[in-house]
Amino acid sequence: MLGVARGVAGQLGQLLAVLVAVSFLTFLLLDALPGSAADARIGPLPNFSPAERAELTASISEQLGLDKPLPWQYVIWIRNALSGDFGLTYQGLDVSTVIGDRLGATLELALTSIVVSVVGSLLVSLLAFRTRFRIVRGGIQGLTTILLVMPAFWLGLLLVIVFAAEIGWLPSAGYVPLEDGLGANVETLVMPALTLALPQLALFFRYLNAGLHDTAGADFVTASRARGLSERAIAYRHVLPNAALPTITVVGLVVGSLISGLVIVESVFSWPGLGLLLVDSVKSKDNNTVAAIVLITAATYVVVAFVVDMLYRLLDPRTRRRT
Amino acid sequence: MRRVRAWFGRQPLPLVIGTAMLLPFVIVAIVPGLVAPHDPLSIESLPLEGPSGTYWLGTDEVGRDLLSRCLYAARNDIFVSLSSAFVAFTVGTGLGLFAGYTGGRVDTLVMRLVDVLLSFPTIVLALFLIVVFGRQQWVQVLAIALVMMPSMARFSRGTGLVLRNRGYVEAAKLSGASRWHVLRHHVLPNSLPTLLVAASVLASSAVLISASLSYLGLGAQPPDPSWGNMLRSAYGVVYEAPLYGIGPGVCVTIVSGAYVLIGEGLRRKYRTDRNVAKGAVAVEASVGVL
Repeated sequence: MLGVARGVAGQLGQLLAVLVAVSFLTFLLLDALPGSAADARIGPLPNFSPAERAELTASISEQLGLDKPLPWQYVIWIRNALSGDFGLTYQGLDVSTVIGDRLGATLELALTSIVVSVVGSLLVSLLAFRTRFRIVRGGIQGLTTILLVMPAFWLGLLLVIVFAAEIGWLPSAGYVPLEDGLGANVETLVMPALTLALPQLALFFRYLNAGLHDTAGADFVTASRARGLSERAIAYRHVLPNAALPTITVVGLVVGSLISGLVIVESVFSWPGLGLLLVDSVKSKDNNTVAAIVLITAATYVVVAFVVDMLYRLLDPRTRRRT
Repeated sequence: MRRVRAWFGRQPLPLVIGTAMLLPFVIVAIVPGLVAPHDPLSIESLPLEGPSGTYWLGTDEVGRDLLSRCLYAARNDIFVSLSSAFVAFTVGTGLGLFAGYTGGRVDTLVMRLVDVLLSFPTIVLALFLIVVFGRQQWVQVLAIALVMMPSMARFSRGTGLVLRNRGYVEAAKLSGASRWHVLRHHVLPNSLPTLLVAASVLASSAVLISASLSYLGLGAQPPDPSWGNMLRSAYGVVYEAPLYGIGPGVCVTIVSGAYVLIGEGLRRKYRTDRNVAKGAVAVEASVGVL
């Protein structure tokens, strides 16, 4: 038990070290931006008069310690970031407020897509595993392979062509908040969520499928069959849990790096979330916002990877003994 | 001729199909002018015309020939994806094999660095690098290479670790070969087949990342065509010309699929075991689903 605790403590230490390194690298890139540090960190602030701007710039430079050495600037930056202060946007708004406004839409899209892809991949891989028809299995395998090599924004375009332009069931882009009616919200959600979920589903399927076929030949399966268990019980109670375990790591990787997919899908469907905000900020050179999103998403990845690792140890007793 | 055919007959089927899918695009990328029926930048006809005998895929929103633009786009997309995959492969493999073979503190240091780089989601890091260093093509190549390099390093490190304990490596070390010599003449050649499988997965991801960047408007700049920025325009006119985006989309999918097939073919050719293939897929998973 003590060994386990020590293992977890060591992992936590590593987690912290990676987090510090990630944030320092983000800060270095922010600092490497062309132009003076004050310009890069404060921005043109078009809504202020020249006098106000000069005054604001001076006071912010003072606060950020821009005349101090780099490591000291980093300490100030990360301390502010930890208390939720990422500075001002291009327009002079609080970065954290702008990000907070976008979080709801992003979480709605992200959660829906993950639920759809996890549940969908389970159903599809069980279908492929248990079906008697080779054509079904081959069809599923072919389709998932194509889904993995086609770019998400093209998949989105095909969905828009069919469901918005030809049949006209769904709006081609946009977002209706949940407060303005569940039906309208779901209508706008369907295509972005599918565009995000289908390639993930294909990836999970590939792992689950490999896992199912590896496990199907294991001795304990033969033993269960010899004991007279039904094929159904074997598939659901013995093969599936063992096959699903390695897939958890992949799901974790995908959840942690979901923002990559969100960037594309949100730009495709004008979904007002973090991904679209990132692209817009990149284009308008809104450096503080970009740095804040980079830091937040990288930290999310590190934490998710850690949680998945812990979860894996909890679920698979074999990995526990090694620590 | 017969010998060429016999050689082809011995290759695994996915490798042959993948190469057959990729080769036309490489040729078009080198000499687009020979194949394209029209000038990709000149306004030839009315905007958004449907497919016809003169304009096989129709015309775009200002009346340029879509087929010619698709073909010329190969120049940008194939160049960016191949060169970034090459850079990621060289640097990643070099670092990974070196770390895995050397072991000890060097290994720990390199792998922690890789962990840190892996923590940045692919597209996010690429976008950040483009903000910092500008929108030139070489920045794109290096940005895509940098986001893929860590997964390649991690993968090749595993190979380095395995080869370190092989008999022939021990023998070379005992006969006084330098570390560089062992790496160059024993570790690299013996891990190359495995690494090439991962490299083709990398190239496939590179196509998707580069298309995504130009889709977001941060890759090839208009009026120069790229499959990504053509697909972006296709979204704007989806009600008027639904077929606009089919051509460029098919191109990206074929090229990225071709690399995957080539990878699968190489795996069969060198009879690498399934665990290696799993590792290669893990490279893909860590690059992210796009």
